[in-house]
Amino acid sequence: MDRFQKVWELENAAKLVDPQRDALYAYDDAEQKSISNESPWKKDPHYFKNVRISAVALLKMVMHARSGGSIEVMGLMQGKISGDTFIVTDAFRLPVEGTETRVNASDQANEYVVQYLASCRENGRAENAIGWYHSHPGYGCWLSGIDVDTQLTQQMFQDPFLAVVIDPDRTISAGKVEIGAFRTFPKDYQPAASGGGDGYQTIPLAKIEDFGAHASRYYSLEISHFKSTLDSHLLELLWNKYWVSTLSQSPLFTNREYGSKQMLDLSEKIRQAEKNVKAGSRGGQHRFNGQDTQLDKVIRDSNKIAGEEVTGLLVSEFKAKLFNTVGATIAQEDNASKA
Amino acid sequence: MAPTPTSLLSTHQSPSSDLHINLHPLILLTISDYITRHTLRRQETPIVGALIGQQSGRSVSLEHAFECQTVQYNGQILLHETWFKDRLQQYKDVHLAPALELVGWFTTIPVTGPEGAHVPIHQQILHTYNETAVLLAFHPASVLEEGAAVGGKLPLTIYESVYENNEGQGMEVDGAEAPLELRFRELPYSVETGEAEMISVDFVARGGGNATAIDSAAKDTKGQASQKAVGQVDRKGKAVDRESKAVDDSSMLSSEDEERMRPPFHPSLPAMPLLIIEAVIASLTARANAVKMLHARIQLLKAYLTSLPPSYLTTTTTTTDPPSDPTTPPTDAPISEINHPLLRSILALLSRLPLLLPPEHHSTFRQETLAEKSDVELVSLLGSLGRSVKEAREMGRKFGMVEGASRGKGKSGYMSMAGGAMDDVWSQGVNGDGGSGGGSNGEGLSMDGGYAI
Repeated sequence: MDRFQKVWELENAAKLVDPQRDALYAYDDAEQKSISNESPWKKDPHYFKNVRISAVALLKMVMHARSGGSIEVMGLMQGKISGDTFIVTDAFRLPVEGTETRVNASDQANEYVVQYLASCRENGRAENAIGWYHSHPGYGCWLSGIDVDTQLTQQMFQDPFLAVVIDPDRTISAGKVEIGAFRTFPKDYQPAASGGGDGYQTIPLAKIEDFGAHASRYYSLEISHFKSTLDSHLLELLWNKYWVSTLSQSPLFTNREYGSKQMLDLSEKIRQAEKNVKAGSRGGQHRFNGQDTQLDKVIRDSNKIAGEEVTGLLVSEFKAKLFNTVGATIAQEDNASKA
Repeated sequence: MAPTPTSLLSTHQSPSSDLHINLHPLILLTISDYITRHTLRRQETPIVGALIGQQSGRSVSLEHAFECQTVQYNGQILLHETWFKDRLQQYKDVHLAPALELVGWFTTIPVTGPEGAHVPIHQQILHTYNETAVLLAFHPASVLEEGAAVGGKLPLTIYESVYENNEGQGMEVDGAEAPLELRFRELPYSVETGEAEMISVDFVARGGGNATAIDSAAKDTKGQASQKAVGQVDRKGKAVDRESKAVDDSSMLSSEDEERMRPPFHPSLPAMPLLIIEAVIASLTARANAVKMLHARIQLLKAYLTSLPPSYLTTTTTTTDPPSDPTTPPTDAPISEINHPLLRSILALLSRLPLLLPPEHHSTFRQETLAEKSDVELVSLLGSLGRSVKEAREMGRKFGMVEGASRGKGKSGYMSMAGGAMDDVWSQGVNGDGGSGGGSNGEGLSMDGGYAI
């Protein structure tokens, strides 16, 4: 046995793990069962408040979302429950063909899920599926009408269940992962008026109706992510490898298409806002609180776009400052030394 | 203390095959995740997993990984055949475009290299799935001895397998029956990231949050690497990674630094909402860290070059020194052995630099840059126009309110002002910005034209 341990380096591998700090990676079947039996979330539609996503799961989901391009993709998440928190430990893709506006699981996908989870269990991973993720390329993280229905069904039959939405296009343009986690309210539940719109986001005009119509049927959860001690060690080492691409890439260039799309959308919104303002001035006693918020939104959108663009420009200016003179200086010195 | 390699490593120093490996960070995280979970759930099985990726010609990309079930058969560890087949198919089903194939496997292996116990799985994969499968050996031991021998290198080695004659015996046995034995040969690899992948790796790396179950504010014990004494350049340039890592660690801007520095970076910025300024600062911080890294690397090269013994030829024509560097006599004990390939690549780099002509000489490039710049300026102009419109509107409303109030007071008591005055205010405010709204709209449209180039 010692020999066995040594060849496969199990002993050393075990030393890499700090049981205290990496506790989220453990899994207690009995505990999960008892939580599931108690089902505290049945009494309180607002029961779950937080989501913690492991580094691997996050990376897998973002890469999957990005690989879909402008097509929506979908997958499932595995994990466990701890208090009012979903802990997502892993994610896997589903063999589902989405379109540009929707994605839905089919029977074939359900079969796939069953097989996949069975394989996992045989290999000692007892986590259940605790949620699904899908991508909204370019139009922000929220649930559409179809998504709400899907999620509602899942919560009825497979609770606890979580919906995660990722926007790969905005991830690239903003330089940070755009992700949202949601749960729907039961059909007969009327949520108290939500306190504030701190999570403001830009929604394209084509989607805004869909967004507004269902916004009161779900709430979003607080997302944080976690990594193990070994992860952070490896990530530190990785930085040594990929700092070059931080220097060399240009967000303006890679995101040109997305930028133009944003502008087009903005111009359409401005036109609408203008029309409304004009109508309001003619009507006189129009209650224009509504219009004001519309204008406000347009301005926020344009500010956001401007911010992204300026960031991009700064990056390229910065690059030019850093590297453009190098060639010239050296050429000069070369010439000088030759002369 | 150089570890002695195991007998299974190829001893032939043949010019290594040009098989090139592109490793994606996801694999690393998957392995790390596997090890952590494996340990905490007290699993006894070996840590074995499969790697899938693309293979085109002589270049292989390792993109995804998944763990595997193993069985013990006649004292050998093998993959669970049917389980593995199903599992692989499951992964292939969801990685259709681009299609990923099984390209290798990973396990944890001592730094000395693969041993006999690792051969059966490798052969199993070679026979059934892929004849050029590679083995990714993860070395837990080298993670443990942090910074000591490994420096900034990732704690892994990638091997390809070759069949070799057993020296000596192979020559004696005549003809085709020469016993060929499986040997492992180390392969060079590079880390490759897609952009989305990079952003999320960065996101995960920067964002705090360890996996403590109860959120106790356990402090990260980072920066211990920076305490490691550095400065001695080792003769093969291996210290490149180590030193720069240390420098980088200590100088990495923390979020507190970000808070403190908030001078206007760009003429159009001061008027921007705080949120956007923060995004800009975050992006600039990432750049600054990268530049520090670059600086550290250049410093290291410089340090290496200055520590070289003076030229054999006493002429000044050996221009391997950076031009800006005065050829001071080396202060450290000079390194007797000169690494010629390293010197040659430094020379090649230096001679390539003048060829990077500043883009001012290329009119098309310049035009493109200008166009892009004016696009961005237009967008930010639109943004500030929008803000002005909003402020004008606000102003109009307040003005109307004040005027209405004073007029109302003049007419009758201030109680009656509410209804009538409000309407006045509204219509004034609205009239005020009908025009400017139109103006900004015009801007938006004309800019669209410009942007679509």
